Amino acid sequence: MWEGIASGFSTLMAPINLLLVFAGCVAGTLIGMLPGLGPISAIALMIPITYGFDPASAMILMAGVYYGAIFGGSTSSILINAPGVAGTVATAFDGYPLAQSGKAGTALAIAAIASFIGGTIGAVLLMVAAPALAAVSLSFQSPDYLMLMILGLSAVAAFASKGRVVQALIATFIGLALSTIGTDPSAGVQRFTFGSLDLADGISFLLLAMATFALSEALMTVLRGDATAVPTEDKRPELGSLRLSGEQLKQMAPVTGRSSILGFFVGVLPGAGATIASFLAYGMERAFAPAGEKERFGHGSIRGLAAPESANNAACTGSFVPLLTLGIPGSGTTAVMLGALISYGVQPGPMLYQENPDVFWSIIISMYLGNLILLVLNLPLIPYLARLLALPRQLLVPFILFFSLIGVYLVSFNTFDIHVMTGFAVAAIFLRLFNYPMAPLILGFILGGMIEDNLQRTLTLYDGSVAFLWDRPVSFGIGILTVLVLLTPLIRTLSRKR
Amino acid sequence: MTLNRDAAAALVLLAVFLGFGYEATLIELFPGQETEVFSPRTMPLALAVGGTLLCFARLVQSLRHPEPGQVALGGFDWRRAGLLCVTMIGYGLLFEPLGFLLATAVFLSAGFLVLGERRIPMLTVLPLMFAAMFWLLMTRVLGLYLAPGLLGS
Repeated sequence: MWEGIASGFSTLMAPINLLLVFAGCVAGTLIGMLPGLGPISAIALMIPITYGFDPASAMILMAGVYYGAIFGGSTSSILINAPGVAGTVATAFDGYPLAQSGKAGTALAIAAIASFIGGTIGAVLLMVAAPALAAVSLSFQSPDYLMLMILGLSAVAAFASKGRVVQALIATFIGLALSTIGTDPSAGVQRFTFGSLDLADGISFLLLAMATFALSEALMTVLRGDATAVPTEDKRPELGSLRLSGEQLKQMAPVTGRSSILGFFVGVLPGAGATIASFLAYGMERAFAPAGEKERFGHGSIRGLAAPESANNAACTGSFVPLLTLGIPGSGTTAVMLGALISYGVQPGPMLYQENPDVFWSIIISMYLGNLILLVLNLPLIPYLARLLALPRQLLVPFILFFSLIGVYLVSFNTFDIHVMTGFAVAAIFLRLFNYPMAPLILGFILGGMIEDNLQRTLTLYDGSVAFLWDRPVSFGIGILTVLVLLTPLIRTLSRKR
Repeated sequence: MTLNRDAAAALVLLAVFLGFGYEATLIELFPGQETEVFSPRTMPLALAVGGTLLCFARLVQSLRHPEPGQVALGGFDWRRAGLLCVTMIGYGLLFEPLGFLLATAVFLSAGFLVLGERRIPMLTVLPLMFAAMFWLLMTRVLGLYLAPGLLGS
């Protein structure tokens, strides 16, 4: 492990990679600050830029963008009470009141330090957990992988859809169905191409990710009338000092420790992610707080701000565990990262640890460095970066549309993709308006090919029988877990009714 | 029992999955593949059946237990969003005939205009300057080819 860490550090310390982490953090912060645009859009927008990079450098940039976007979301939560990312909604509960009381700088510094601690603890836990899980998963066979992927999809549908499990499952099936378009990999037969050569290679993951996230989010802001709203400059409070007192740091210390550990383990669970982690940590700290402090929650409590911030960052790190060790993303963001890795020619999974240790460790180490850069370099830049919040939306939205369209065009050099993207963006808006979540759709699309591949191998191995469901203990265990995961929202609803 | 908007959306998706299932039955197979355990039709057909059942479940759910806050479609700015979609389609159509520089400048300018920007420099100078800078960055710095089109020639 130590060799790997050293190799990860040496890759990361190359000047170009250091520059990429920094650029990623700044770009991610800028994009994450914009309400409606989250880490998925930020990462999707970066993919075309990284096509010429080696996989380690590309992932280093992505990790920087990821953490930057989460921090950017916190910044807009604190400054204008408009969370750029769902995972930073809980940040606004106490961050915004703090900013309103003239302590915006303090609130931002607390958020940055808590994020840094969350990221640090998360990275340490990841270093321990990822190789161990990778070693275990080497014994997995096709049926186990198939069941694991079904578990991942079920968990995202069950936990990440705010109780709308049926809609999330439909979105998953749409994603899976879209993945079957193009030439069938095993038999070479054309499926759903309608004779079009442009569809023979299928739909690119980048096109779908851009259309369903970046494009549709930008169009949703137009639909809601936000794109023509008055700029938010007037709402931004004075920043004040970015320094924290010893007393404030003392208050934060135990909170960030507890919340980071909680956040990491919540993040490892497929579908749970930063949003659930931040709310759980907020609730936990409120329960732990002494009587007088409890009343301050929601009115500018330092604990109330530090808890969700450290938890959401640790959860982001935790979400990399299933991606790096099993090759199965547990969230929309890691699903987009998986798609990016595959397009660079790197297949995440247990073999990544053995075959591409430089990529494996660079990702882990870059997460840590990304957090450090956010604290040391990004925080002082916040007064300047926050000016973006005042940029008129009527100028910003066309630029987002342009970057999304040109990003996809620069990969395929085919204008057909621009039309397909527009079509998918319109379809995504329809689905969003009726509460069909997009993360399960993109996850289904990315896992579709792998599921079909493993299903084919499994059915061939078992001569068309589904006996693998109970023959293999691992598959059986995962199957039971899948049923429990799918039943959880139902049980929750029934117990609430009683 | 009246057809609410959620149920209508479920019906649309049900039709999509039925259509998908029908198309799946038309996937061409090589001789002998029909009897194989797994063919190119297996996964699409399984997805069509699963998707149809789920959409049906959603249809029944939204008819029997309609959600209190039905989506109010009237309150959205459909005109602007629609115009932006038309602008994107136009960008795709004009990209090759006009070239990157002019098509991008026109696209950005149209986008600003649709969203209410009326200042002439913002509608003319900014898009042109941005398109030119982006083109230079892509072609001269990153070495990618982007057809300059009418302006470039």
